[in-house]
Amino acid sequence: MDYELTEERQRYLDARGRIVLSACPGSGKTTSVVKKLKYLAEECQQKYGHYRGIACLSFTNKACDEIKSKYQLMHNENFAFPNIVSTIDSFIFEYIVSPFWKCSNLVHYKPFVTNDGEFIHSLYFATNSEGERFPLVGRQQIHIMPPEKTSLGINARYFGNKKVEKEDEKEYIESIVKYRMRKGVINSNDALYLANLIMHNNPEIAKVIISRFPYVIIDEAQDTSLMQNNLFSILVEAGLSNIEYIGDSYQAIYEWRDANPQFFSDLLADDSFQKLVLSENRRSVQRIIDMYSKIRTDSDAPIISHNVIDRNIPIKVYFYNNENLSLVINDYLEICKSNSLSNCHILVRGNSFIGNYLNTRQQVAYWKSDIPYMLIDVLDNYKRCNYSEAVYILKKIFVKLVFPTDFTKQKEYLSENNCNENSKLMAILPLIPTLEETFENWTSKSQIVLKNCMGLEQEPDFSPKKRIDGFRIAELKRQSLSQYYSNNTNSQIPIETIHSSKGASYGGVLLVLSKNSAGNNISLSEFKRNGNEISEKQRLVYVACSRAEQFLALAIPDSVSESQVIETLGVNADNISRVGIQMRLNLT
Amino acid sequence: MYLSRIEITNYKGIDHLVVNFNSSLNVVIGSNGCCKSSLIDAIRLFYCIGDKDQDLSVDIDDFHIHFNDDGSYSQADKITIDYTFEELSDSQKGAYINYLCDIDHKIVAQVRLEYSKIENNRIQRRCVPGNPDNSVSLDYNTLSLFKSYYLGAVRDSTKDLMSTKNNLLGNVIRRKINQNNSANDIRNIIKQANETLLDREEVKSTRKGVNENMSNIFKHDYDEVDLKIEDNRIEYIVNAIKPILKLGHDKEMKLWQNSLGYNNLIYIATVLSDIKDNYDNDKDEIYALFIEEPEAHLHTQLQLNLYSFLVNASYIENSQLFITTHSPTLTSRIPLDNLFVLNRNIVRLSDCFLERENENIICDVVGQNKIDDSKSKKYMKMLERYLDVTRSQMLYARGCVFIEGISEALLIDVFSEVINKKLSDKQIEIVDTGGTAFAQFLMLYNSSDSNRRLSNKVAVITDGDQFTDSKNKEYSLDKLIADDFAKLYELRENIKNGQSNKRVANLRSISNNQETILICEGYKTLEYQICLANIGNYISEVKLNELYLFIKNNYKNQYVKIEDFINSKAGIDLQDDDKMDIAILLWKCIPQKSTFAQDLSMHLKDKLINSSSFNFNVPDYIIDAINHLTI
Repeated sequence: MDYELTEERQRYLDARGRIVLSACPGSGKTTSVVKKLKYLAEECQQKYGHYRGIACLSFTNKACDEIKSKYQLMHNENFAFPNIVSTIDSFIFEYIVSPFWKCSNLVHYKPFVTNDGEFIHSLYFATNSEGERFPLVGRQQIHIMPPEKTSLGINARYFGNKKVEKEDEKEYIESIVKYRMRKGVINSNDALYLANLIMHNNPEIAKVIISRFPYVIIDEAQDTSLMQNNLFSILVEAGLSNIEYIGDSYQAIYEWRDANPQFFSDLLADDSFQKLVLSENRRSVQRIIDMYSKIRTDSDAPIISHNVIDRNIPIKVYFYNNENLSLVINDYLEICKSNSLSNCHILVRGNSFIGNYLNTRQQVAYWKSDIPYMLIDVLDNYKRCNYSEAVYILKKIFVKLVFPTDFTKQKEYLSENNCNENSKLMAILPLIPTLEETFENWTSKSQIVLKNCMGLEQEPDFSPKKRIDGFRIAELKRQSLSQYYSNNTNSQIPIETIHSSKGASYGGVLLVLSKNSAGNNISLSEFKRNGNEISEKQRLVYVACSRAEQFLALAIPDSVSESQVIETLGVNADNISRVGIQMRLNLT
Repeated sequence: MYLSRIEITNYKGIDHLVVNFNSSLNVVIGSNGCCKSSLIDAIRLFYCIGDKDQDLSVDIDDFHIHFNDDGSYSQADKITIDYTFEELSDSQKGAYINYLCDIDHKIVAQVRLEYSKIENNRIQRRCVPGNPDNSVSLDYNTLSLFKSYYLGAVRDSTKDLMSTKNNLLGNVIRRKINQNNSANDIRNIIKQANETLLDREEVKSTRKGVNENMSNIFKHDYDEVDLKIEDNRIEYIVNAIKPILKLGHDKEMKLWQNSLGYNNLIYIATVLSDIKDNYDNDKDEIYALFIEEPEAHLHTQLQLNLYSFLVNASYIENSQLFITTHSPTLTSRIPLDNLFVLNRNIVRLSDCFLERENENIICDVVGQNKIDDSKSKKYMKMLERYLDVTRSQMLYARGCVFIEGISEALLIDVFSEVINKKLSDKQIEIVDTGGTAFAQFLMLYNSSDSNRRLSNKVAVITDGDQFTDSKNKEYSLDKLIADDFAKLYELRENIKNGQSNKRVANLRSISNNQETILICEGYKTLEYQICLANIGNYISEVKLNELYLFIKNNYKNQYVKIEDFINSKAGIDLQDDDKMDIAILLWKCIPQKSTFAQDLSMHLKDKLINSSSFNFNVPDYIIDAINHLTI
């Protein structure tokens, strides 16, 4: 694996201590991190021996896997013990919450992390002798504010994404969250809260963690939440002298409830940190860079296209309406094809109107119970040879069916790794009916399989919903599941949400914008800078555009005026297309 | 950092046992079958998990068997061993992060090892680092933090040193080669040796012969065979390096020609150099060296040398020494702080003397003085002085009887035989305290805390010494028989009214109501009590008594002086005063305490061998002591 050593990269590789690295899109930041990890690992072993190492933290398992496989590729060895690559969440659980939960004084049993809302919900209810379910805590409010949606932050209490201000609600949420903590059933956010509490109350623990990990690297640091940042700050205060925050404040697009996009920018102003930049873009041609740089402020170092061969495909703007959208897409794909661009995508904002409109292959919610969906998930994992995950989901199904209300037993069963149970569940995998079956057949066959294999007294209730918007149940029954749930969608149209495109590189990108920025929508106006404030939506557009290597296209509703487009984007009128709606315009 | 505590449940002979160890030297002693080796193996079990060179595993026979009172028994289903390590450096806290546990705000490392019986007699192992409630999964990479060396009781250190695979010396050399990055230099040495060797006519002609034959077999398509010393893998080269004992100029001895004792020493020396090296290389790893019965194959002087060597070696940081021994020679040298006596429970001897003040034991009945810290420390120092090679035997015995001197030692042994409860058969040690200082010994047994007392039964046999003036000249045998026995009757009355000394009362108080301790008092002296015990109700009876006959035959000159008095009592029913009078007179015939003891014991031993029955009575208080110890 070649690594071109430029001046700015060398500066980063040589830097030690507390570092903030601003890496522009396409700068190969992961590659640089991976390059540096090897040097650091050697240095660390010399200084700290064979049992203390580097913690390289990122957000998703996918990002972690990428670092690991790149390391393997570049250095021909694994990034192994005592060094770790981990998600921040599992790092916090493994090294803070799991060993030291007792220090929190809140948790009474070994904590078990689950983000299964229904499972958490079930903790708060019991069934009386008449078979009625009644709440164990918060009798009045529990129906208005379901417990699985409550959470604690630093000096804050949340319901969903909303910070709660009313005293009685604050009190309710605090008691509800602490109730499940006491029981030892927590979600990722609870774990984070506990980690903060533990570290705050026991300064010794920070020292232990620094001793185990004298080097900490945080990738995608712009996406860290308030509580995560707080943890790292505690480590820095306790003496962690080698810490690297790596990210790009323009790519902070995760709307965490206590998201703190400001954090990365604040770091850049912190004198105790060394500031470094990677501004060489090895992905995009300068034309595309200039387009999304409109969002950047003047004080930022300019991004320079570096060693990218320009195939001279101009940026294109399409006007679209409900009728010509497919023509627009065809035209876009045609250009990609004629320039032999590979991996071209259409990017939309998830949950926006246009996103839903384009994404026709929705998953239909056919059943009332959520177990069939879990079973489909099992099937998917089984097909991908991901057996341990498949079995784990089966275990979850098992506890839901066998001890529906007894969460202690649920917790016990899920945390135990019993060979016999596992092999029993493994045997179920090949018996689950395939997605080729019709809804009707699949449902009845699955019920029988679960009843027989799990030793249930009766078949689980998989009755379909009475009504599903946009579908007729009678027709749906006779269709095969694969149309709706098959994961290997060889969709003709490569549509993706901006969030899921993060980190990717695409030959061409068509970004579909809405008329205005109402609700979740993003529009042309995101390109207009408003002082030094950069909004979440602007960052989304920034991320979307910066995926493109050679060809960037924007689709804008035809209700927007051409002059507005030219003014905002500064594109040449020749590059504005109205495929398929030219006629209609002519008529008016 | 060191293993500070182990808690063992249901392993081998151990039902449940908690031991708190010292950071450096730990010497475990105890009688055979007290589970010393089970304890050592229990410690090793965890250290061996990550060590492919040591095979110590748990099989179905290792699950403890509980015997019930009715003779039935049942086998446990689960073995649990908890290990606690203390005094972690800051750097170790990081390295052992998975193992950390907060016990009373002191960070320690912990790990639990569990073996469960599952169906078909299979055994499932679970290893949980940190707080056992956490079920953090074990990171196998951290197992190499725990290093151990084992020199078993039945050992083959020769094999450990000589094996071409994984030999210890080779490991040490190889690690140094890795550190110096000098693998290629070593290879080159062998390469050069290869070239010289292969150039020898003998090798050449052999190779030629082999190849001729080979080509006859294969006819064609045949690759020539070459001969050489293996020079690719560093371990083959370094494992060929062996220790040789130099015997003066030119002469050397191959290792397998050495005595086993020497090889053990070479092995231990190699291990210690390995530990030292490892420590310089990595400050996080910890080392345990287990030696079972180091006295095996070593004569006494070498044992003592070895002991001083090991004690110095145990001060290497992060290293801990576990020794089991049966050697009183070693035992007598080891500070009480490092000495653990195993017998049902385990007791560190120094614990018997520490923090005892709150038990409020009175050691001086008259002054109502209590055993405070300074007093018990004084006792501890005394015991350390008293525990010589001979007395150290007491720590291996099932029970002990403490006596005042050599006469008692001789007599009590034979008395136990007379009443058919021979003490040595029951592994009861007779401990000659050489005086009347018993308290420092009782301190080992008298705590109300079972972790601070040895569980064996003990007895003290001591004299009440009523009326000590009886030794005075005025009560010599000649004076007693003069004046129509006036002085005899005076002495009898004086003894009767005499005060017992305070020692017995003090000892009873020091016993602290522990049922394992019995204080047995002879009101006057042992010899007098023996005489008194052997006076029957009629003179005719007395005359058949073995003691009477012994005194009559051995001390004729004295005996003639009392013969008339004894005969004068013939035919009458002897009253207590009469008995005392006769006993005093017989006693006064005995010339010297020690020769009497020696002669009487010899005499009784002869009788035991040669006569089917004879009349001899052991004093009651001595029978009490023997019964207490042998039941």
